[in-house]
Amino acid sequence: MDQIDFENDGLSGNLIPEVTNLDQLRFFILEQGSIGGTIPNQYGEFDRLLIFDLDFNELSGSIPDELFDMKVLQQLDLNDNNLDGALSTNIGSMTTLTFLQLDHNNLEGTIPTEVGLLKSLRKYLLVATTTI
Amino acid sequence: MGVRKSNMLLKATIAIALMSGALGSNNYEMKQQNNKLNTRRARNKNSNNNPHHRHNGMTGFVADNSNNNKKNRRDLTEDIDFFTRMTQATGSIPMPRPTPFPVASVPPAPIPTNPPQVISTPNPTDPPVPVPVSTPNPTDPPVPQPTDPPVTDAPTVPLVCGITEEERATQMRELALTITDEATLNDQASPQAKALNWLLTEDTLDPPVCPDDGPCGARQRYIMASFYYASGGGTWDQCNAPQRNTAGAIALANANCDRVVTPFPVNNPRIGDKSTDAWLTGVDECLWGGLACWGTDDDRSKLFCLFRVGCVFCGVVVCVYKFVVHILCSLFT
Repeated sequence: MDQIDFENDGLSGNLIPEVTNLDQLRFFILEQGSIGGTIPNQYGEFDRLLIFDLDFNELSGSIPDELFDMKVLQQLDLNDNNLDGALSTNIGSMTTLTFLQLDHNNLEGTIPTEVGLLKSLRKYLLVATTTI
Repeated sequence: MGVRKSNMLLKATIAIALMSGALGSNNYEMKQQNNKLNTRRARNKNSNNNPHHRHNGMTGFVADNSNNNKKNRRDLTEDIDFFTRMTQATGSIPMPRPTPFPVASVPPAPIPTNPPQVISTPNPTDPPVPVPVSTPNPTDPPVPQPTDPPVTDAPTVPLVCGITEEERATQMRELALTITDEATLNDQASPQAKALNWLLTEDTLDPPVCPDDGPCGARQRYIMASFYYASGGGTWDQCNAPQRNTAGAIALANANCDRVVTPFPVNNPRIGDKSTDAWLTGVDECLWGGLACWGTDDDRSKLFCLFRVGCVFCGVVVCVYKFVVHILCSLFT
């Protein structure tokens, strides 16, 4: 499997950890749905994922630290959800990241200085209507 | 004389047809024949009202072919004239004239006391009324059952993937347990349990996925089916699974799926990125709307995936290739 791609197609329910066994997956895109629940910790095991895009959903809970273990991720879109908690300092390890959107959530705390390690980052939005 | 023979055969046919109808047969063909007969009767009844047709005083058929009628009337008039002359000359009933047709079993026509009348004949161009063959009467006693003991061959157990269905179910469950925890799989309401159950009992993919198919086989299909059930599959805006596994329902579900995968600047060809099959239909999961798979990549598992998709399109021959590739992949893994 190379790509799972849905946009505004009425998806709901929850994320399941089993998809991380699709070890060739590069694009995981479930934009603009009603997907709730938390992001499974196992999602950090995606070895080849390039785009992780779940914006405009109903995800809750914190962004798991393990999520930043993805080795080659280039785009992380989690804006416009109900995510809370603090942003992990592990974000600094995603050196391949070029696009980051975490705005319009309920994140708390400060922006980790490790964000400065994201040398490839070209565009990011972190703070719109969040409490960071 | 040929016309007379036709009359006799037709009457015999009608008689048999009426008798068969009287037996109350429910046979569909019989009903069709009776309907045809009734239709013809109605048509003839209408023809009898035609002043150009002369009724012969008998319940019969009236031909509506004027040319044939002329010939028929001429033949019949000759017969009647001959009959009348012989009666007047000898005072006895004449023997019927020789005829090339076997009409001896039919009694001769009554002696006409009135001026000759034209006997109408059925239209020879009408399709023949088929004589119903003997059909079993529903009231007939049942055919006696053979008294010999039935042959008791050992029951053949259908094999799937070269193993029994039970073995396949066990192995598929074991495969699922390598990526799903047991508690979740035991919860029959969980998406994963639904997916496994669907794979084992409803999936119409032919050939079916097998436990040892490799990373793109049963495991991938199980994961995608789990994803479907977990993300509200059935209530999506499109690409929902068909309501039933009928051709019409599948066609309808496919028609309601237009989820082409968003193009990305990928250089490799991909399988299914333009396909829009409904989910959980009996095609490779790569063809379900919203999914794309690696195609001609040189990775062994991807190559295997390619051949599995080929199976869908090309049938047995490609499946043989699939098997060979799978063996080769196993050797080098």
